[in-house]
Amino acid sequence: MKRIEDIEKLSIEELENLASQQQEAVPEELDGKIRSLLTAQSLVAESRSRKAQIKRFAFVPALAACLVAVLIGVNSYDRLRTPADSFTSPQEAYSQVEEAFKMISDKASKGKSLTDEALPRLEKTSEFLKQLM
Amino acid sequence: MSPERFHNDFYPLRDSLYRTAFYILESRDDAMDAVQDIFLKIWQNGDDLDTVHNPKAYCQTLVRNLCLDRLRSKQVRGRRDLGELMEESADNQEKSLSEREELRLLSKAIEELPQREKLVITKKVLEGLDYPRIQEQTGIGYLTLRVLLSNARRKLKKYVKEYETY
Repeated sequence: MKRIEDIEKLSIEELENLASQQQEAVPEELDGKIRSLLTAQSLVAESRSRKAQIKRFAFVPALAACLVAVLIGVNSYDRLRTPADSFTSPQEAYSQVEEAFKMISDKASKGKSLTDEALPRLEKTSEFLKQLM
Repeated sequence: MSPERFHNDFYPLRDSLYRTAFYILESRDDAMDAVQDIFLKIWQNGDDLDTVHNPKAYCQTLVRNLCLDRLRSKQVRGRRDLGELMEESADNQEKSLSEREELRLLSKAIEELPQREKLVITKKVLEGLDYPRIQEQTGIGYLTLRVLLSNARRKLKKYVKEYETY
């Protein structure tokens, strides 16, 4: 085994010259091994880069799902608030209309009786004001 | 660093680098490992090497330093208790070992691909050639190239997955 101190004493050129004087042949498989290793490294780097890109945009499907959920929720809430404006049965529809008119009529009658009650008092007040002027 | 620069200026140095490594380490396998590690380092640090004006001197320095480090490690291993060394290795080098193991595994899988698939995937991924250039160099038709590349990638994925589940 070579000694470390002996190698360290040599310059790069001297080391290269000594090495080239050896009879050792370069193994044929060295070229293939280097190329396979570097291809492997490139594939790993490619795969890592793709995974990083996927992670960066991973929030998009989750965001889309949330938006859809919100839209569905808003639509359902809106539907619940808005009463049905049509009836499937004609009898039901007629009775609803009848009830509505009865309510209007009751309110109108009540309003008239309140007016009738208030009128004499209004007339009295008007007389009093005239006397003052 | 562009693939062209790598293939024109650095890759042709592999034979002389091997001889230097063999001279220092006196072992065929160790020398091949050392040269592979050198080229892996060059490939990984490609962008930092665009300013290197003398690739030959740069690589020879790299191989000398790497081989001296290996000689030192061998000497240290000889002196220290084996159990101590194993413990240290397990704690400190687990992550880098698994990355190297992944590379070694994938590299072995590429070597075992059928000749044409290996050729095509190397030209596409390593040399960065597009399909017309690969067609020109190999004489293989476009559709066949696509099929060969797809098969190669599929086999490599399967090989790595099988190893991981095992």
